[in-house]
Amino acid sequence: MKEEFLDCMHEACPIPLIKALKKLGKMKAGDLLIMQTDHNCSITNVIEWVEKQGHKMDYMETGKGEWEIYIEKVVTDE
Amino acid sequence: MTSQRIEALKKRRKEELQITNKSNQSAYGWWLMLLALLFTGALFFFESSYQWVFPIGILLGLTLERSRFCFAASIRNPLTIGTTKLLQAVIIALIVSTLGFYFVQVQTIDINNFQISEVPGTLKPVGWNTVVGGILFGIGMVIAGGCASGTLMRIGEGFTLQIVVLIAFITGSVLAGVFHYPFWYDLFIEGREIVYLPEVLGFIPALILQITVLGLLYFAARRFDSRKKI
Amino acid sequence: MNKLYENIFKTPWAYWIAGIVLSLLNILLLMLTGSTWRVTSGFLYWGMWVLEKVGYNNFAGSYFELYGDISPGETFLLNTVSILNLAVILGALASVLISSEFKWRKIKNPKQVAFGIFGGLLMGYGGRLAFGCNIGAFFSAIPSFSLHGWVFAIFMGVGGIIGSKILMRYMI
Repeated sequence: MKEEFLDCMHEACPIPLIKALKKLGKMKAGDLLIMQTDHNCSITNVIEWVEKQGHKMDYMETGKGEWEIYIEKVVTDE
Repeated sequence: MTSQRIEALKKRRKEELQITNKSNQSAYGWWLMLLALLFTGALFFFESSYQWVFPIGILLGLTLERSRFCFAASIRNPLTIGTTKLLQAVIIALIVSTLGFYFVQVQTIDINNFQISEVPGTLKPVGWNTVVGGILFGIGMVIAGGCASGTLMRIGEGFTLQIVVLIAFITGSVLAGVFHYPFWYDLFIEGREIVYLPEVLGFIPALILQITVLGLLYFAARRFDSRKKI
Repeated sequence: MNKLYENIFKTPWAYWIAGIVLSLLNILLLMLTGSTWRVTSGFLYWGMWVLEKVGYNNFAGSYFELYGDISPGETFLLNTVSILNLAVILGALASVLISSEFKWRKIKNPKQVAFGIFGGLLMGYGGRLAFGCNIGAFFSAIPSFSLHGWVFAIFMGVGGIIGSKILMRYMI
């Protein structure tokens, strides 16, 4: 039940999404990913992809134009 | 969809980061909207030719930002992460626009006796220049992280990178439009005609064909999205 | 009431709703001004304003000479497309301020800048050849029933595929 951080601050579209994708791929079911981003697109496109994969997620504003996205990995890539 | 552990995590992070909802930028936003409204009023009062252009532009920018609409992402996402929600939205938008533009066009011209130059809308010659231009533009928009409208939107959002993109965009436009244009015009553009589909196919057939093709593309995009992809 | 405010001004809108709103606005623009939404001709004109300022004004054979659409009384700096583009930026700015999400997002690394410059140049160059960008040669062109819109769409897609491959290979 690991907790991982992913700092995507100041990254350009679509880097936050791709980084999250790769990081989640290496995690196990039940692990939590905390992704920090300041890109407006992230809260729509990351959310879209995560929900499609079946993971649990929510996000929270942590500052003006800054968010943390919380993803709980549900399925493993078997 | 959230979970218990995520809710607990949120609470914990809120404490750890000491997040308080102190300052608020909303007031500035509303002041800006008020100024825009007043400016629009002034444009109408002086019967400026920009009286509609300005407020509609404001609403376009607002809509783009509220939804994070990005045409570049509509093509890039299916290829990189397998999602097509944006592409579906673009296709729906094209269908609605098609109906609306058709209505405006047939109201404006005499469909039995018209010149293409009279047709309202954006109609341009088609040729190899469209092919080359399209490919270059497609590569550019994905690499730069946004298309033309996306660049404007992101400048408004505070992305300094997009200001650099804009300067490069302007430079590229001038290179092609001023310095290299005679070459391209000679090679690909001179003599090319506008192909107005209703002129070629008839008005109703063109409308039905376009809506049908867009509809099929929409369903194809939906099916593509339903396939899981890691 | 508070929930309604939040849904309009805080929570991001669904893409399909925005798509419909953008279409309706474009239709309104066409009905009320006689021209559709376009973006990149404005960029060309701004560039030509800069050229004039530095003393270059040999525009023979240029896009502007052949197809320019600036009315008498307008300048390269201030014209219909300029105002439209500035209004879009302001609208986005107002939106992000109202939702309290404005932040000066600085550039992180030189690779970003390189890709931004290269991408911008390609967009500017390609857009001029094709008579428009994702808005002028696609979003406004297809509904206008002009074949160039469809052709542009297909090859913009091809370019998007190539661009995505480059992106995945070099940016990550």
